[in-house]
Amino acid sequence: MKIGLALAARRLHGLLPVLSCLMLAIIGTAPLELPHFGPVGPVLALMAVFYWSIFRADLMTMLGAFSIGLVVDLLSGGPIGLHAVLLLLTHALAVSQRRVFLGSSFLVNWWGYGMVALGAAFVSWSVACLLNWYLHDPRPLLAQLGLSLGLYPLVYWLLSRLERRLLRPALPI
Amino acid sequence: MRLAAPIKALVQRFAFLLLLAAGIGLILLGRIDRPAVERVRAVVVDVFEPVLTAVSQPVAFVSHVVGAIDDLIFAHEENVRLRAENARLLQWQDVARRLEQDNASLRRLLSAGPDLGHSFVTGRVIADGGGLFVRTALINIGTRDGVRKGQAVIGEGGYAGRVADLGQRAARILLLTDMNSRLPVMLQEGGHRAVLSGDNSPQPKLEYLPAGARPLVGQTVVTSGDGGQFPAGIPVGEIVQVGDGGIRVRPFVDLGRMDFLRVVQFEETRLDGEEYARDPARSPARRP
Repeated sequence: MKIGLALAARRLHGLLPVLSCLMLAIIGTAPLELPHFGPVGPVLALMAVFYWSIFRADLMTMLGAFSIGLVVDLLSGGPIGLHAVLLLLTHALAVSQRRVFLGSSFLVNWWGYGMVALGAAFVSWSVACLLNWYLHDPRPLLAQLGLSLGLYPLVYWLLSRLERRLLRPALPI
Repeated sequence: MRLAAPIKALVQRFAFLLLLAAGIGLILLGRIDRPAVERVRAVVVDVFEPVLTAVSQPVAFVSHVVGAIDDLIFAHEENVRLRAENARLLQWQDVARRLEQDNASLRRLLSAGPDLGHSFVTGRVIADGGGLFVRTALINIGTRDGVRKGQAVIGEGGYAGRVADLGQRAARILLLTDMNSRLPVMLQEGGHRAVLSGDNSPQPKLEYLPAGARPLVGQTVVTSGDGGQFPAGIPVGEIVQVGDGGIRVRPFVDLGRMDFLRVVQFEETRLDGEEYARDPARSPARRP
């Protein structure tokens, strides 16, 4: 009984990365409007997927990233499948480079996130332009990128606290 | 099960490509079969509605605080503007009272029926946008509250958008600034018909205005009711630019700060005369 409970708790903890991503995705859709900024919502889920793919790749799987993206797409009014692809690519990129990030400082991590966010912004802009066959104004995108970069340290800090508090250390790679 | 490392890598790579293909397939499917995607979306949004409603309230609070700080910083400017506007509105109030009386007496003279009544349902905005290339909002009322697809949605000040996707407990509103929004409107002065086309910018474009019309900056644009989905005369916005860049209209509704939206129950009223059935005193048959 005791062992069963401990196992269940462990399972639940294992879901933490995916759940935290979902929570951030939901917060990201909430109607937060900054004056003078217009509809510029940072893609919070992207930050979380990037974080967990580096630090707990064992708990953030490909399928997890894809599913979170799908939920983001379904909750938003945007093209369906776009965030699924974006988060999948983010996950793949982060996992492939995780050895670089694991040994380095936060600044390197921040820079890495900036590159990923820039790529994601470019992909979503291109897809939106292709789907609507219309050249969208890229300026809101740049504003979003700036805002996301500014918010990343906060999300990073929150997630690292969450990881230290609630998750056991990962197995060595 | 333990797999040899090369096989494991191969499986991983295959799974990645499969998921990538699925994602791209979904993007294309969303383009080809919109209704199917909308149905799935409605179900998912229905499931998430309680969570979204719960989360939207603290976020709305933060938004309000940020807005309040912004208001404080610009309080003086705003105050000057409001004073001027107030003086102007007081004049308009007199005019409106007079016109109301005129209108009532002329109606009696013509023995025209009363305006078709319409009722409203009000919902809270629980999620917005969905990326930078869509202008939508999600509200927490749906079919069970009597919302139907295509109905007009009014915010504080005037027309905000129309119901695009619909679930039982939530509805997605296509805002008038979205690039897919086409709204039949008319100039309040002169009644010239036109179409207000969104292009994702904050100020939609006024198109297909007849050659005889003389649009001027400051004129009001209202819904024309053409197409039968909306009541006519809902205030939409004010012309702010006439010139080479086309005619631009600034919506009266502050699309950045919407807490509650009202859905106009117009279609039903008009189709089966529900309003008359409920209120026989206003029935055309009883009219003197």
